[in-house]
Amino acid sequence: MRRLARLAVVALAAASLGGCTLVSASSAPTVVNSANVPLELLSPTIPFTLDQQVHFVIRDVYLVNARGTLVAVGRLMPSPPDLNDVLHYLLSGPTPTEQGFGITSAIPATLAVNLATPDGRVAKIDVSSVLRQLSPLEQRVAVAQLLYTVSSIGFHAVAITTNQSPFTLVLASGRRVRVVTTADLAYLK
Amino acid sequence: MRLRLVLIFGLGTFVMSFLLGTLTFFGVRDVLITQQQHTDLQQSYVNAALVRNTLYTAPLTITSVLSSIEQSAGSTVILDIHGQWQTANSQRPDALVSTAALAEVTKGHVTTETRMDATGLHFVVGIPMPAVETRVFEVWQLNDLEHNLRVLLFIIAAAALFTTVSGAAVGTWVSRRAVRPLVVVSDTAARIAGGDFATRLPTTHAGSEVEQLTESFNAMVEQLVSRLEHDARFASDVSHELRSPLTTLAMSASILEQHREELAPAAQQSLTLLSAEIGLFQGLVDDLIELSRSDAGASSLTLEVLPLAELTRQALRSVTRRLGVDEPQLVVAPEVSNARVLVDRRRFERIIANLIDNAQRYAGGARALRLVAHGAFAQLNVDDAGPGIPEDERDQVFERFYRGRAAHDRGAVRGTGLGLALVREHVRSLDGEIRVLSSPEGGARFQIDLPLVEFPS
Repeated sequence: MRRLARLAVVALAAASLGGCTLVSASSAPTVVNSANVPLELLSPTIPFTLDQQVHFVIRDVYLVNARGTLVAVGRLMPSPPDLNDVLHYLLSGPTPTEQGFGITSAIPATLAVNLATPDGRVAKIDVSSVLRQLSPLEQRVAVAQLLYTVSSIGFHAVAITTNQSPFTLVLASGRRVRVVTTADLAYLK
Repeated sequence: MRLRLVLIFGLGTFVMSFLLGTLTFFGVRDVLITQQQHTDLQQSYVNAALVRNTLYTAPLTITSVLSSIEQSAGSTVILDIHGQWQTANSQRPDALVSTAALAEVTKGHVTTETRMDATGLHFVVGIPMPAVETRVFEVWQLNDLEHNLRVLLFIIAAAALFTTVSGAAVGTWVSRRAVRPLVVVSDTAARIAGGDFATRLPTTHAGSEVEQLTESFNAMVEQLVSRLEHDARFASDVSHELRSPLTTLAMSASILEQHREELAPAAQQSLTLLSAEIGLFQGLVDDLIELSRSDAGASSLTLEVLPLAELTRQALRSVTRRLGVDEPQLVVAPEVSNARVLVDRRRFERIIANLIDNAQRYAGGARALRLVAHGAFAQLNVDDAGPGIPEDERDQVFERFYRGRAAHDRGAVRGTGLGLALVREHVRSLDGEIRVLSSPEGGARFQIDLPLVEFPS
């Protein structure tokens, strides 16, 4: 009987040893002394600069929902964001999570922005000729995405060229415009 | 003693190896953990600086930078930029970073934390970077470290087990060497106690203490043997000196017996008592002389190979006729009906005679003699009709002049007190053994083993 009890104790010890971890988890996080943190990581400004800091803001880029209308999604970008920043996030398309909700983009993945420059409150955007290969309806939705995205940083119109050639958008009414305003495509929002 | 030595060695090495193994394991474990966490922390600082520079110079490439960090370092990097979580693979940060660590990093402190979850053990480093409005959390896997520690523990446990077994083996060897002289002394003492007075301890070179013990032991045995021989010679001399006057007395008593009718009744009664006492005295002297010869090794031994059953039958008939008692039943098992033994016929008859006489005097006579086979021995069982012999007397009944309770209590006919002692001497001289047991029929059983010359067919 005593022998059995001893065997049980040994087996229990072996089982507990096999089951438990040899590196114990912390009960609470350990704070590292700030003096020991290298590379000036805790500095409020960027090292070797004139007290520069980087701030971020959230701005909307416009994608397309399952009904075919525009939907605004927030994107974090350096503050203040410029034209190229917002266009970069627009061309990056929806995140996997957004795709899960049926959000897409009418802008082809092969479309490249060659140049984007502000002209007052009009954004001049030169893109690759892929835009011309889209159907008129697709062109309207794609241009609406560009227009409303740049509108989130203060522009109210876009003038689009494809490889330096002027691009004319045919609106649903049949009217042809080179400078597209938010009023022209408000029905898509 | 040997078992104790083996246990002491085994237990000692086990305790030592256990302590050493435990200290080694925990020491190495602490060093490995400290080194691993130090390395991970330093690498986290470098990666955080890279993230800061990327957010400052090319913030739009931060996702690809995170991916490259994770690929090269094997860690998971989670960023909290302006309150927005950002990872290279959309991993949920709350599963990897504790609330307490988040709070500390929000306060501006660098934190480290070891966490356990379903995916294993992690070392999490949290670094606030106010210059880029970002908190960096880098999660390092500790599963490899855990695996290495398990391997180390297994190796140390195996080494401890091997050391323990080795210790027990050394203990066995040492105990065997230490106890061997004592075993020799014990065996020699047993042989001397069994009557082999020529046995001595062999001289060894096992160490001065053992040599001294050997010399002392042999000297003691020499002294004892010398004393025994002296006593035996004295008893023999006395017996011989008494024999002549006893013979004269016996002859005189015999002459008086021839003229008994001429004596007065009182004188006749005295003559009867005198003759009985002289007979008893002669028996005593004869037994003493025989024992003395046996002790001195001067007793002749005429060995013959004889059929045991027939020999026993003849001896029994002769003895009972001489003693004038009823012949008990002789039962011969079939397997020993043709068995042969190497015996001295006179001594064998004396054995039978003394046992029958003993049974007759103290136990109501012999009930039966049984011959059976017992391995390489023939077993002669002499059962008597008495109440049996108590267990505490069974060894003593073979001592010289020992008179048991039966002799005292029952007022039995007085004997010489040497009969059973002579039986034992004779049995030993025939390379046999004798012992007393309880007979299944209720009395005492004297059991004699004699080596068989020819095995029963």
